[in-house]
Parts: sequence; C-alpha cells; structure tokens
Amino acid sequence: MTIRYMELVCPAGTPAALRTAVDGGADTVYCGFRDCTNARNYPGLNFDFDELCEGVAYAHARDCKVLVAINTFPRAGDEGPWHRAVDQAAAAGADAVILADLGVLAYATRAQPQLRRHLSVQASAANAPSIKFYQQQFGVRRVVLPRVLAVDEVAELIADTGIETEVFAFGSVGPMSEGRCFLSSYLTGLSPTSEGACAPASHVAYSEVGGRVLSRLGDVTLNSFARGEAAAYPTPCKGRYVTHGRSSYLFEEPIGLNAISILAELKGAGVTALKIEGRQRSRAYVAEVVATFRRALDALDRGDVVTPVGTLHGSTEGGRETRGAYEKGWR
Amino acid sequence: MHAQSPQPLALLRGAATVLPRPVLAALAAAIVRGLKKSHPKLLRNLAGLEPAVVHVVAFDLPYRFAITLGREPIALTVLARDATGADAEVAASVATLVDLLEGRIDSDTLFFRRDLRISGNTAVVVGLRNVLDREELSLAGELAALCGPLARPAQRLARRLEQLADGAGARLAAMHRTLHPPGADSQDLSAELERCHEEIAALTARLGALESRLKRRADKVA
Repeated sequence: MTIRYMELVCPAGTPAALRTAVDGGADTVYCGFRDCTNARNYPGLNFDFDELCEGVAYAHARDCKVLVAINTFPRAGDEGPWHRAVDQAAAAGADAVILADLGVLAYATRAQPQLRRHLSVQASAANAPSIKFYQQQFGVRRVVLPRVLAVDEVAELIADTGIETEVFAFGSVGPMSEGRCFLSSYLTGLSPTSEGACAPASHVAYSEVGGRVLSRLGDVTLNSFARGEAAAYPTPCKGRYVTHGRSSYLFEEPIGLNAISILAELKGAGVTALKIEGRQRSRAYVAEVVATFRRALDALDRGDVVTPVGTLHGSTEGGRETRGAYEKGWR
Repeated sequence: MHAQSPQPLALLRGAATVLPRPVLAALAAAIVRGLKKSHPKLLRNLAGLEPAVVHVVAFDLPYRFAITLGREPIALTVLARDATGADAEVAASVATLVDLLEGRIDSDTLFFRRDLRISGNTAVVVGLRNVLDREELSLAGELAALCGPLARPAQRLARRLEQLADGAGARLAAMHRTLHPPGADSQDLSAELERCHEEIAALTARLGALESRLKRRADKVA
C-alpha cells in the first residue's frame, strides 16, 4: 500500500502548546483532560472542558484535527471519569478519541457511535488478530502501533489488516512493553496505566552528592550522573543498576527515538500518520520538533532529500538518537 | 545556546545586581499585581497548585526569589542568596530562567544538558513549569507596563541601553580572549578527572582482588 500523504500528529499538553503545534504545521494534535483518564496526568498539564472546546475551535479554523487521549484503564468500579471524558470529547467536537480499555471502547461505541475511535499504544496491539478484534468489535479506525515493530513488520500488519496506522516518529524508546509495564507501580505504588503517570513527579527527587546528581524514584536511587554527563528521565526503565559489581542500563539506555531519516520507508510501508511524543514537554519543544518534521515531510512530498539525523539532537533524552525497533539491528 | 532573546538581559541582570533588596522586592510585588490584570488565569492556576514555596536561584545574581504557590494572593519575594526554607528549588542562569519563563526553551532539554538544577519537591516544580508554559509571557512587557503611559518609550530606552551593554560586553569578551587564549573547557576537565578517579578506584579494587587471589594461591602452594 502506498500512502499519498502522511499525517503529522503532534502533542499538546496545554492550550498554548496546541496553538504552537497548529501554527507550526501539525495536521492533527492530540491532548487529554486534567485527570487520570490520560497517560500524562502531571500537575499543571492538560485541558479542562472549556479549554478543549477553545482548542478544537482554534484547530478546526486552521484545518487541523484534534484527538483526545482517554487511554488509561479505569479503576475497579470507577468508570465514571472515563465515560465522562468520552462524552466531553464528543461534546467539544473532537475528531476522534484514543482509547485502550475494552470497557471504555465498548462505552464509546455505544454512547458516541459517531465519534471516531483510535486504539492507543497502551492497548499494546502488535499483531493482526489483536488489531482485527478491535476493528470488528469496536469499529476502531486507527491503531497506534507499539514501538516493537520493524518497518517490514509494520508493512505486513497494514497489508493484513487494512487499518490506518499511526507510528511513533519522535520521542522515547519504551521498554517494549507498552501498556503492560509495572516497574513504576512497583516503586511508587501508583499505576501508570490507571493513574496516568509513569514515575509520578510526587515520587521523584534529585539531590547533589559529591558533584554528582542522584535521581530517585520512591526509595530507590535510579541513577547517578557525573558532572557533564547527559541526564535521563527518572523512570525505572532508564535506571542504572548495579549487578555483579558493575553499574549499567539493564532495560533501556537514555536515548531518544528519531525516525526522521526513514520517513520514506515508513511511507512506503503504508503508514497513515506519524506521532510525535511529548505532551509533558514544553511548547518550545513542540515548536522545534513540529517545524522540523513539517519541513521533512514537505521535502518528502516534493521528492527532495529529507533532513538528516542530528537536527533534533538536543531535544532527545540523553542527547542521543536511535531508530529503535524500526531497524532491529540486533537481529 | 539560547534562542535569540528579545529581552534586555544585560540590563535586567545589571539592575537586579545593583538595586537594593527593598526596591527589588517592591518591583517584584508590582509585577505580580500587573500579572493579575494581564494574565489572571496564570495567577488562578498558580493558586490552584499544591501549596509550596519555590526558590528560584539565578547563578549570576546576588539574590534568590521565592514564589509562594497554592494560595491567594500569589507572592513573589526577594531573599538573601543563602536563604533556606524552600519546598523546592530551581537554579539556572538569568538568561535560561528568562527563556524558560517566556517559553523559548524546553526545560527537559535543559535538564538533559544539566543546565537546569532542581531539588526538593519535584511535583511542585513540574506544576509550576506547566502552569507558566500555558501563558505567553514577556518579562520586558510586564516591566514596561509598570511605567503606565510611558511603557513604549521605556521599552525603547531599555533596548538602546541593552545594545550599548551588548557592545561593551563584546569588547570586554574580545579583550578577555586576547589575554586568555581558549583552552580546554574546565567542566570537561572536571568530568574527565572524575572519570579518572572512578577508573583508578575500580583498578585499585581489581588489584586488591588479584593480590588476594595470588596470596591464596601462594598459601596453598606453601
């Protein structure tokens, strides 16, 4: 399958970031409500209902779509906030909701059948039978693929299911267990999949000891950075752990995903949309990354050479970049 | 490297360095009053955060600032450089802090590069960062607004003074380069030294283990 145009899907943690993304050339922005119904539930971030209505109006006036992430999993016996979020997204005029939980998908299908449904990466659907299930049962129109697939595997999935796919183009490299990772829950007692925050800020602490910066999550020291060494997020998957007397990154190194150099391959695979991660990042980040990918996609459409790797070097975790599982160089 | 700042930074830094603390404190209070009119939502959102006192430390200023959040009215006060009692602390250069305030630079990027230091209650700092990032603020605009009808001439004067300060700064930097040719970066050297210390410690530990092993073997042979 060959896609004529790949949609650029950009993060908006705040109304100001939404306007920045729209003005910077996003085709679509995604955002969430100010509560545990989305996977970026951090203090001061996200939208209330009025802000979402204003954001949708601003985006639609500029021919840009708005998706609302309602992609956490309801706590037992407490579906209310998730159902309300679906209804409010529909009332605000959002173009689609991004869902993960089967019950929330069933509710949205029944209560707001006209509202487009996308499957969040938190559902971790990475094979054809799983994706077809969501398609058939809930009319899911698009799936956000987990960061575990090589480009040829993405192409096979698209050929097999015929579904729209959205893939991560810039952001983190997850521990290849998206939506199923409980490392942060283990250390903090708060679940990223229900509370909406991996390594919640309330449990993170930094201190300087002997010229080194220590990052802690709960009672566990995750990392120790020497002076001049690039720092990483305080998430357990990016911790440096001591085993056999030697400290190393056991799960993932602090490194950022950047697929800007393989846009042509992703387009050739039939990918519908490229997702920029970072609703928790500032609008300065949004401006820089959106503008860079807009230029690259426009160049791709013109048949020009796409901007090489390195342009966004400073914005990536640890100051390093990878194409992650898209290439699976270890195979 | 910072994005090109439209702010008269040298002037701000100079003024904040030479003005007596009571004058700075009055200025800070006036800025908060001005923000109440120009960005009412900002103050409501700051008041809605977890109650806390955040100290903002500019590496290149002799004072620190304290923001009291989570209550109304929001307070911005000026404290001695070594004051304590904060729930959280944010530290960076004046240029970085102004860029952050005005949304020209990403705080995570600064954190990765280690150009921004935070300590204490991280949730409070994250909340403050996110609430500020929701607004399109201009520090020079807020300061100029304090001049009332003279705001525009005051901004023009500030820009002119900044140009003069920049010119003088460039000449001083050129003189400094002539007197002190560029050498190895001291921060890189410190990091290198630290790595060497670590390597020596690791080698010493391995040597100790080898010596113990040799001694055990010698004992067995004996």
